Amino acid sequence: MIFEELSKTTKDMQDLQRKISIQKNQDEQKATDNKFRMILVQIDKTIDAIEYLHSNMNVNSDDEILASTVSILTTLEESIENDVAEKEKVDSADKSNKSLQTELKKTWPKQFEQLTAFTLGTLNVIQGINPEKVSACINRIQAAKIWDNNLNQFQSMKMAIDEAEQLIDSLGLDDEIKSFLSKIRNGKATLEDIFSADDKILNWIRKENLQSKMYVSLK
Amino acid sequence: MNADIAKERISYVARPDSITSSEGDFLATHVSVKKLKVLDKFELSPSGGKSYTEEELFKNYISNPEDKHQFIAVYGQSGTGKSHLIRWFEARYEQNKPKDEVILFIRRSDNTLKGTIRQLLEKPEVQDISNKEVYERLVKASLSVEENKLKDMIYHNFIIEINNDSDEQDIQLTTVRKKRLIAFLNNEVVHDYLMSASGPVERMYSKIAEHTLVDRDTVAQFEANDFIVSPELYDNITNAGADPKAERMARELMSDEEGPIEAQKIVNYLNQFVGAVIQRCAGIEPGDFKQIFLDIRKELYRLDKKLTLFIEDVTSFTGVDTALLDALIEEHTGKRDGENLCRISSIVGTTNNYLQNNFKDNHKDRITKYIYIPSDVLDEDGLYEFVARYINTMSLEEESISDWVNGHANPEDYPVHDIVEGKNWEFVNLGYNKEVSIYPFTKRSILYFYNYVLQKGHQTPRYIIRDIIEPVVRDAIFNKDSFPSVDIDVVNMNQTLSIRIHSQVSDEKTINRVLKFMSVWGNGKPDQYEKNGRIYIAGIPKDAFDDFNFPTLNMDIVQAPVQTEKHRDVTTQPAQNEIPETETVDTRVPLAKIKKLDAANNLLIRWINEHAIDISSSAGASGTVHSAIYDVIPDYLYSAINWQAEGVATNNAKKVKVSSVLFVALEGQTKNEGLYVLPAKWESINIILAFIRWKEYGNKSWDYPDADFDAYLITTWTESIKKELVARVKEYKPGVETRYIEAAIAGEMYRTILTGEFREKSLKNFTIKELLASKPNKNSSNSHSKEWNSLLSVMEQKNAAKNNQETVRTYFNIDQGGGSGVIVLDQISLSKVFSKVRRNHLVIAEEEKQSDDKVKLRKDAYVFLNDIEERVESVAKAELELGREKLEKIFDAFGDDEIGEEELAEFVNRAKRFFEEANKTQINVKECRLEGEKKLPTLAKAISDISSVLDEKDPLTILMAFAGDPIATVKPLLEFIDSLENEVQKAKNQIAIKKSGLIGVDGVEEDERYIEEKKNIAEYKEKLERMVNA
Repeated sequence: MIFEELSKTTKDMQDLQRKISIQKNQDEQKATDNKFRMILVQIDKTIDAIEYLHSNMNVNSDDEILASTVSILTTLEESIENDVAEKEKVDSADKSNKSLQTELKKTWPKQFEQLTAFTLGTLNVIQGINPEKVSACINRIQAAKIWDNNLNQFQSMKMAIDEAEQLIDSLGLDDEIKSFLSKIRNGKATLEDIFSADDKILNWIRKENLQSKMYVSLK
Repeated sequence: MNADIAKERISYVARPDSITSSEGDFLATHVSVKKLKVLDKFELSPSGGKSYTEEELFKNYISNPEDKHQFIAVYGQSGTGKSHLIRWFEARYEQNKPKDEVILFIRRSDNTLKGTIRQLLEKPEVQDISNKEVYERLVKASLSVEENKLKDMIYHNFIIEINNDSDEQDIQLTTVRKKRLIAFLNNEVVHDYLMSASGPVERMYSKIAEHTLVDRDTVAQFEANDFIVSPELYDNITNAGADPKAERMARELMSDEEGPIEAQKIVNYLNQFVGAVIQRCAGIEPGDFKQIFLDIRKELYRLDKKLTLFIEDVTSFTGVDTALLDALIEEHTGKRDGENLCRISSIVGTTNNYLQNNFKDNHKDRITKYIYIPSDVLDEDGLYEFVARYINTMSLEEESISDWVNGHANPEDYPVHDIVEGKNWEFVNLGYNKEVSIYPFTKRSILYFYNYVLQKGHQTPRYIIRDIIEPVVRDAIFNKDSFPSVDIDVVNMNQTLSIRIHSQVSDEKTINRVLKFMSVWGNGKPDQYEKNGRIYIAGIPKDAFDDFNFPTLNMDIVQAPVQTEKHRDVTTQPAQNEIPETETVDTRVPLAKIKKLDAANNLLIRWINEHAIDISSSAGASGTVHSAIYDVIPDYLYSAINWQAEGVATNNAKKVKVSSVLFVALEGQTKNEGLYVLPAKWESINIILAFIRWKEYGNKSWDYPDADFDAYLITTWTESIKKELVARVKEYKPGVETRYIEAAIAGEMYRTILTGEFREKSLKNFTIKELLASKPNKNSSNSHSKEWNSLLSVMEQKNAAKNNQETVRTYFNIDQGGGSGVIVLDQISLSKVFSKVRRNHLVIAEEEKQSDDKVKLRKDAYVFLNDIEERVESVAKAELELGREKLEKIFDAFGDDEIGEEELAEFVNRAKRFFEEANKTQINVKECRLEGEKKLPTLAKAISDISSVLDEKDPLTILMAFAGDPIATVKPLLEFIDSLENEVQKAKNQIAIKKSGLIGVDGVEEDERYIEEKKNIAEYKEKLERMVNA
């Protein structure tokens, strides 16, 4: 079927031209190859991170980010279709990857806030109880605040959050106090909560010497 | 005449060969010959000089007063009476011969070779000759060879002679010509031709075989005419697959200029072998014949006798003539073989030609005297006397003649018969107051027969007996009621006489008899007079009319002529004077033309008697009538009838006119039919003669005497037959109108399609304009199938296509007067016929076809259509197969069976890109382009045209699809595909080579470099997929 043969042969010739050209300029090709691999590694990390967050922390990336990631993978795939990484396509994938990372950096802090706000707030409240331990937890959680495309970062954050949960539990707070702490974390605690009938909350504050750590504000 | 006796005697008396009649009859019918010439040297036709009577010659030469060796040749044209004269000499000599004289008279009645020898040996004087037994055995040895075998022997012996000719003959042919002649004679067709009944072999055979009847003057030789090759004979020779040498010779002999010369050369050459061949085939050895004569002479010398030899006809010795002449010419003064020979006096009869051509010069030199008998040996009185003596002799009992002969046959005792019939007829005086009635002749009729019935060269005693005396007398005595029924052409028939007879007699047969009698026996005038108490009608006594029971006729009463007839020498008068008195002829019409008309009239009179006529010959009277029927009448009727006004297309009328079917034919005409048949009646003769006069006298005008009557005759007759003739012209068969124009139109439509002049896929757009417009396809070559082109060739054969087109283009023309260049068409008729043909898809139902039309040019329309129809199916099939084959190749190339302009454009672009990349990649390919790539719509249409009929069954639809020769249109594409396939393959090979020389980056093979990465990518995509679907 000459109709198709023409196209195929034309493409073969183009490929041949490129290969010839590549052979003529191996350094350039190496750089392209490296870039290709580097992008692929970055994407690999990104996917690992996304997958970790998704699987372990129930964080779902939005569809656009997933589609962009697939698109980058496709471009990368195409770029090596002829067994030589095509510079144009690799560059294109690189550009897309950078955009993806920027987008991740942009969207991640919000998700981080949602993930860590209660824990961090509680830790801040109870910092006086076990200042050393709580500070260490807070620091490790805070370390993941900025998207670093690094699975370890999120794994460390997860562990810190888990430890913080355990720490809070170990304080033996009754449910009324836990409810008060929760209201504080959500910005909904009022003086009414403190001045309850049994002064349970007030007593706990005095006991834990938390007066100076709380402030009053108007709605 | 005494008819009762004549009925018995005529067979014995009226014998053209004098030798076969009895002595008494011979002498009783003998008329003294007075115009004989004597010559010392041969002259073919001597004129002037002294004339001798037969008696003078007898006394001076034949009786041999000096008793010397002599050889006298008596010659003259065939039938002039040589035999008669020689017989008379012999009879005369018998009465006066010396005692020691032996007379041998060799007849030609037994004129074969062996017959002649037998006559010699039967003579009592030679009973004791030496070797007689041998000779008798020779003569008696019957030829048991069958006729055909013997003829074949003669034929092949000539070939043997040519084959063995070692150039010892006087006349020679070159080796090449001899080989050609042998090949020619060996050709089967030539063999059959030369062996035919009138051919040379038959002539020779008659000289060898016994018991054959042969023309007395036949010379057993080849004649130039035997070797003139007619075109028909040449066709037969070539069609039978002749040897090239034979064909070459046949071609030479067919040539108008060189043919007769070449034929004469061959004849002269072959005639040299005639003697040898005849002798060999007759079983006689050369020398036998000469030896017989020498032996006879020796024997006579021994008996102290002398020999006088009368040979009636030396031509009967063909084959041994040289030997015979040698024997006769040898004088007795010399000795032969030690023995003496007797004196010989030879009187030998021969014809002019034989003497001229067959006597060698040495023989001619030794001839003592030549006696020449002129053709016109009889004068007018001699002619009457000749006839009278025959009539008298046959009216006498044989005893009367015998008594007269026994009484020394003195003229004063010459017996005259008692008249029973013809008492009042003319008499001829034979001398000694012997008056003989010449009933059933008149002197005028004898002259008439002599001048007009006998052909030139046949005005000799033999033919007078054979063609005048015998037939007329037989007619009178055996067929009296129909007398004269002999076939005579009446010269310059008096039309008034004819009309007068027709007005008084109704029976055609009787009219013919009376007309003939009055014109030939009488003076041909419608006159009647009384003289000496007797009534004469047309110069004939009325009693003569009564003798033959002719009806009583009333003619114009005129004064009896006063002058007496002068005696004329019938042969020395100028031709005009030989004609019996006729009515005065208008001098504005040449006599020759009048004669021509008379001859035609005679032929036509025979026609009305016999109701049959053969006018196939274009010569003579037949030719005159032929011309009238075949040319003059058709020309006249064609131009005189306004065919269009009568509802006949001029084209049709013209086709009928030039066909073998005549407008008008004669009743009982042997060849060619006519649409109107002229009955064999007197009125028809008048019409035909009027036409002949119009042509001959007036040169197709009315400018001749009495033309007004002819004009009246012809125009009224034309009007009377017009209706019937027009109806016949319109018809193909009785009651069926001719419709050849339908076939012609169908044929023409096929032609325009097949020649590509009409290229639409449906007949819908085939209009009259397309039919009549001439848009010849100028393409000299095409890509149609072999079958298609064969059909085109068939259509072109013999201009068939052109003629058919002409028929279509002129059939509906309405002729415009005054030679107008404007063509006006009968649009209504044209539309009607054209629509019918188109509606029926050019099919004419079998039962409507008129393929056996007798008018060839009309039939041609059906033949033309039939030639096409017979082939269209196979043409369509072949064309379709060819188209399919081409199309499949295109479909394969595109991987699609729907190819339009878009696909083609893409294809062209791909090809362009291919070549561009090849150029960039430095792949060595030959760039090719699609011829006519800017005409992609045309190309797409061609592909579509072919595709559209791939499953079509109707041949016409297929033909129309291919009419524009779409295969030729797609041809460049196919070539382009072929070239591209070739170039792509070349490119692929080069790419592979170049690729194999490439080493990947870092030394890793190209296809192994990204294995891991590709795997990872796939894995990552899967992960993402799972997350999306989660």
